[in-house]
Amino acid sequence: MGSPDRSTVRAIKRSDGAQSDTLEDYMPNLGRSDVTIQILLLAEGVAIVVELSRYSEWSSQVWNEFVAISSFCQVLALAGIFSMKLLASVLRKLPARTGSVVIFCALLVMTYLVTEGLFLFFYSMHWIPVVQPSWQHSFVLKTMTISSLIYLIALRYIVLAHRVRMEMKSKQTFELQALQSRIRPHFIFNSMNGIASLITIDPTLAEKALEDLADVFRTMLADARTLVPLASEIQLLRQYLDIETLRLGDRLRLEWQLTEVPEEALIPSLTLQPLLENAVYHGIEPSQEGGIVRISICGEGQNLLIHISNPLPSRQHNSAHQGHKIALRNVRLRLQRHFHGQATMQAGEESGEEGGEYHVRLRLPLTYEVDRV
Amino acid sequence: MRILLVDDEKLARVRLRELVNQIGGHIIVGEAENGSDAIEKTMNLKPNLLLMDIRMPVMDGLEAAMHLMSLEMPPAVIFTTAYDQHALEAFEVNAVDYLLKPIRKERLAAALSKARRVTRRQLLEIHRNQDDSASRTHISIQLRGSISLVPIEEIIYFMADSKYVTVRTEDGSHLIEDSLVSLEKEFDERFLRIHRNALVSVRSIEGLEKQPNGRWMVQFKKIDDKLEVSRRHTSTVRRWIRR
Repeated sequence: MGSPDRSTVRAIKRSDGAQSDTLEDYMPNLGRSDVTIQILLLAEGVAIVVELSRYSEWSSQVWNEFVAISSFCQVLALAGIFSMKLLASVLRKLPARTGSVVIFCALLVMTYLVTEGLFLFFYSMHWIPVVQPSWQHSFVLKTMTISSLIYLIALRYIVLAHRVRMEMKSKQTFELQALQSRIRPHFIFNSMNGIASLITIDPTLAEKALEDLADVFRTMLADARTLVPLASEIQLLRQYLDIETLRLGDRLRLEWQLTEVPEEALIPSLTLQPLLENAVYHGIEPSQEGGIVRISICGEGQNLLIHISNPLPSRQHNSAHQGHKIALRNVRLRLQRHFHGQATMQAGEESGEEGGEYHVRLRLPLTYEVDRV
Repeated sequence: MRILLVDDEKLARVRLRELVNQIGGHIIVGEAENGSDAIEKTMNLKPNLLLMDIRMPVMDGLEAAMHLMSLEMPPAVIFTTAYDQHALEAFEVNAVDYLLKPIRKERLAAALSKARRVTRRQLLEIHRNQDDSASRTHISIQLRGSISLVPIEEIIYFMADSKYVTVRTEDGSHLIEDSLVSLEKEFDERFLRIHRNALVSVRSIEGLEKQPNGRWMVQFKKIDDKLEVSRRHTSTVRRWIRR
């Protein structure tokens, strides 16, 4: 009943929803020690850069200053982590964009307060003679500028890292779903059940069916990027249809029309089989009387024309449409990858002689050499 | 036990028959190719057990089992299925027996030895778990211990009175025990509520006729009955007709 198709569609939708993500999906978990260490290391890195930019000659003074700058940076980093943890419960619910702005502002305010606080602390310790020495102003300004740049870069990094993570995730989902749509479990297990019963009735036929099934699986599991000669794709179709005929008997009737087939022409492997599997699954299986699946393949000038049609039984499950779409999308992707827009595919319902029919028409440019992947 | 084999694939039935024979001690009374065939053969052949596939044309196995539950002495059912993630989970939960294809002899033997009746409640649970939660294809009508099936397409309207719901088809009318509310929910795309007590098939509406008293009546294509549209439903019904 197309259940795998359904659930994967749901998974895809989920990862598409990145637009409405809240900050919670983005933000690294500040409670984790490795995240804290990374932030502290970043602060130390900043201290090193600042110190290197100040002195051209080595002296003991450099070391003292570096210790002072390092401590200041670490204090800022710790204060940053602390304030983020304080705000975490509020930030978590904000949408990502607003959240980043809020974080940025909060960090700036925090930086300002820490810097000003430092002066008070130094004064109370009698390390500086007045609360606001003459260089205080420029120091605060410099600190604010450097830290705001660093905050911006860090935030940007977090967003990009998140995006990469999401892309990897949706790629995995997509591959899984592509695999599932290539191999319909329903088909596998029913075929095996059929072959199991054939073994005693007609061992020779069982043997052939098993070989066909193995060939079909091999192709399905192979790298989907391979180009194969049209002749071998047609061979695969025949093997696949033999297995289906075994199961469905005379409910599945086939009409082949092959005219001037350019057998050597290359097409992406598994372009036609998923379309036929759809035709059988949605057009023949739900109907008691079955019906005719028509397959027409012909070369016409520089093009290869393929036309597959099946009847549409009146009762159609909603999930069936979903399954249809996933297989169609896979085929479309494959065509796009190989022919870069020079191939067209049309699919849809049409009214035929005996009620609704589903038609898929492909037009592919004829290619004979593997000149692109 | 008297067993009826139900599967739309011939080879699957052949395999079941062979395995049942190997196990021995049971009689196979017949074979059916889909759910509605299974119901008919159950009434004629009186099996105590059905070995039934789920995904079949015309009527699936779950629906057939559900209709059968209204018999006085419903047969036990063991489902056989190739792969049906959601149904399988539901079977586990509801302790309904099922066999996975390709079917193993030992599993089948074990299932046969403890075959039991499923309940309507279990089936409803499973049905709800199906990913498409498809509506029934037929309505079953009990008549003196037997069931007759009316395909949904043949139903012109449902009409409720105090106790029962009448199902009107071109050939006549029958009483069923379903409630109008549940029917409306189940077939919400094909049937339209025109009155507190009436649900009509959208496809069989011929048109609307205005009465001298300002009320609207629905006319049907195949029968001469006319049903009144209540004030509350007038605007929705007229919108439907215009489409």
